[in-house]
Amino acid sequence: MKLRNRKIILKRLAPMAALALAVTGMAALPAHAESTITLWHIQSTGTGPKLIQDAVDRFMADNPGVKVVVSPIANDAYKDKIKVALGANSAPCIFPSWGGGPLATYVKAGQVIDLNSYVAANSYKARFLPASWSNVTFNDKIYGIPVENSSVAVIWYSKSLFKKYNLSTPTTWTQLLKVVAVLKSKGVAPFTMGGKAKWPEIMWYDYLVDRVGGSAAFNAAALRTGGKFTDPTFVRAGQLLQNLVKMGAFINGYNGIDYDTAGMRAPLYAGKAAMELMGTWEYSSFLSDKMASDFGFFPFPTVPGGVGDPTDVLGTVGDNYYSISSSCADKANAFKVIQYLIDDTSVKARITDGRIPPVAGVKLTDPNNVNIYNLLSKANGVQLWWDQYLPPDLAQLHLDETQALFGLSESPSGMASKQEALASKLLGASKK
Amino acid sequence: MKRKPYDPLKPRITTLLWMLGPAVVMLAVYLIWPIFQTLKLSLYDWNGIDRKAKAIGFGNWVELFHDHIFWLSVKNSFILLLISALVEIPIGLGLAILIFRGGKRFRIFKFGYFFPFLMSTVGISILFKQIFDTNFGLINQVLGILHLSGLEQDWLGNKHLAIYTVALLICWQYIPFYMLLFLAALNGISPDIEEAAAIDGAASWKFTRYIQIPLIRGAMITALLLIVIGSLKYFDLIWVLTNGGPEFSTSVMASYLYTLAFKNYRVGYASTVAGALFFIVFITAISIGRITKRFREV
Repeated sequence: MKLRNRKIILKRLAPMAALALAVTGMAALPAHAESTITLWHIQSTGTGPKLIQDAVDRFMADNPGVKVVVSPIANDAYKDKIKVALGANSAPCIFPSWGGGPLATYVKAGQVIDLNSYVAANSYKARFLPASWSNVTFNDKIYGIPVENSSVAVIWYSKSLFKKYNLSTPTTWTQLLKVVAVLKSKGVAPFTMGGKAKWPEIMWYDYLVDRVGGSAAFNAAALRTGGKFTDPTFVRAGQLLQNLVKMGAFINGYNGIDYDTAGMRAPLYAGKAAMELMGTWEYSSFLSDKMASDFGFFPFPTVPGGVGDPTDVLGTVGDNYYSISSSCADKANAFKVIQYLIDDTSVKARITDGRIPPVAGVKLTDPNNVNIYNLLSKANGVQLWWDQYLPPDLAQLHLDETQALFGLSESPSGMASKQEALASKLLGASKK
Repeated sequence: MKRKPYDPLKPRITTLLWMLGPAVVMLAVYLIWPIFQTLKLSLYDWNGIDRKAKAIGFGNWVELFHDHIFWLSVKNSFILLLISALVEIPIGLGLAILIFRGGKRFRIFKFGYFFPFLMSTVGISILFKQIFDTNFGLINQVLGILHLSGLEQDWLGNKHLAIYTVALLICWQYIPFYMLLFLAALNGISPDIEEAAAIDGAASWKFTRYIQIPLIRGAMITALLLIVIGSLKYFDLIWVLTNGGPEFSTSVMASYLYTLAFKNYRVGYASTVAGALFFIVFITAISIGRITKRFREV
C-alpha cells in the first residue's frame, strides 16, 4: 500500500522534475565559452549589421574563449528596450547611446562604467576627434566611445529643381525666403517634413535659436547659468519658424508624414519638394536609393540681427557611442570589443559605407563627405540635438511643443514659458 | 486505507490544487500582483532606471487631475468607444444577417469579410499609413483622378480629423469579429422557431426584426462589453499609425501612458495613468453591465 502511494507521488513529481531539469539545462547552455559578452546595436539597416558582425568576428578570432552575442535592434524600438533592460538590471554588456541627457540618467543611476582608465591607456583618447568627447563626458569622466558616424544637420536640396528654376543656394534667411517664394510660385513644396516623428521639426527651432542668440543663449538656459527658455532669443526663433510655416514653406500634411519608411524623402524623389533640413546621414540613404547625384547641401543660413556664429552646427561627432554596463562580467574584454568596432579595418569599412568615422585624420574620398568633414572641422561649436541633450522629460516636452508650434496651435511665447517651467522644475532655477 | 472511488463532480482537494494551482499562480504573478505593483508605483517618482524610487504620496494623482493631455486622451478613448459601438455592432449585425440568409452560397463572403481581422495590426497600420498619405496615398490619388480634389484630406496630419480616420480604420478591422460573433449566435437559434414563425406567417423581415434580433440580445450585449473594454484599452494600431499625434490629437490613455513611461522616463506617473485607466475601464464596464442587465432577460 505504502509502495503504491510512493509510486503515485513519483508519478506526480515526474513533470516537475522534468521542468526543473529543463530550466537548469537552459541555464547551463551558454557555459561552453569561457566568457560571454552581449552586444546590442542599432545599425540594423543596409550594411550596418555586417559592419558590426565583421568587427566582432575579428575579435572572436583573436580572442578564442570569448563569445560575443550580437543583437541588432531597430532604432526606435531600441530606445524603449534598453530602458527596460537597464531598469530591470539585465542590460547587455555593450550598448549604444547618443550621449547627452539619457546617458547622464544612466550615469546617475550607476548603470554604466567610467572609461577614463581605459581610454588613457596607450593614449587611445587621441585617436578620436576632440569634439567627439563632449557628449559622453560628465564630471570629467568619459562614459562612451564614439564609433558610428559624424552627422550634422544641413539643408539638402535638389540640384535639378534649383537649376530648373534658376535658384542659387541661400546663405541668409532673407535669401532663403526668396527661394521659398519662387518654389511656391512654381507649385513645388519648398521643404519636405516628417512631422509625425517630431525630431525633424526641432532641428529647425534649435538651429534658429543658435543663429538668433548664439550657442551661449541655449547653454545659459540649459545649464541654468542665468539664461531662461523664455529669453527673447527663444521667442524670436519661434516667431521666425512660424512665419515660415505660415508662408506654406512645408509640404502638405507635414505633421502626419513619417520619417521612417522614407515618408519624408519620397516627396524629394518625386520632385514634389525641393529641400529638407536633415542630418548628413541622409546621404547614405540617397546613396542606397540611387539618388545621390541629384542632392547637394548648404549650411543653415544666418538670420537678420542674429548674433550666432554661422559656422556652428547642430549634430553629433560620434552619433552612436558605445558604453559598458556596470553589470557586465568581463569589462576588459568588452572594451576590447568596442576597440575592434572602430579599429582601422572598421574605419575603412565605414568610409566605404558613406560615413565619416569620428576619428582624427581620416582619409575621405567621396566629395560630398569631404565637404561635410570640412564643415565639421571648421565649426566653432557642435551642439548635440536638444532631444538627446536635455533630460528625457524636458526633451519630450520640447518635441511636443515644437510639433504644436508647427501646427500653429502653440505660440512661441507659450512654448517658451512651458519649457522654462519644466526646466526650472527639473534642473532648478537659473542663476548667474 | 480505503480509497473512495473517484467522483469527477466532487474532486479531491489535491486534484483541485494540481489542476488549478499552476493557472492560479500564473494569474497571481503576472496579472494580479502587477495591478497592485502598479498602484504602489503610482505613489512614487521614479524614472525606471534609478535603483531607488522617491515616495511622493498622492502627488502624481493630483498632477493627473490637472493634466489636460490625460483628459484629452480620456476623451479620445471615449470617442473611439462611441464610434466603435455605433459602427461595428450595426454593420456586423447586418453582415451576419445577410450571410446567414444566404446560407452556403454566401460562404465565400464569410471568409472574405473575415480577412481584415486575420491581418496583423502592425501590417494594417503600415499599409494604411501609405493609403492615407496626403501626397502619395491611394485615397487622395483616386479622389484626384475622379476630379474630387476638394475632398482630398490630410487624413492623418490634420489634428481635427486624425482621430476619426483612426477610429474608422479600427472599425474596419473589428467589424468581421462581431460579424462572426453574431453569426454564431444566429446559428444557435433553433430551426424549430423559424418553422413555427413561418407557420404563423411571419414575413422574412418581420422574422428578423421580432424573432432573430431579440434572441441574440445576449451576443449583442457581449459585443458591447467587448467594445467598451477593447476601445478604452486600445493601443497598437494607434501607436504604429500616428504615435498618438499630431499634437496628441489621437492620443488615447494607453498610448499616453506608454509615452510617459518610455519617452519621458516617468514610470511613476505612467503607473498613475495606468491605475486611472484600470479604474475607468472597470467602472465603465460595470455600469454598462448594470444598464444592460434588464435587456438581457428575455
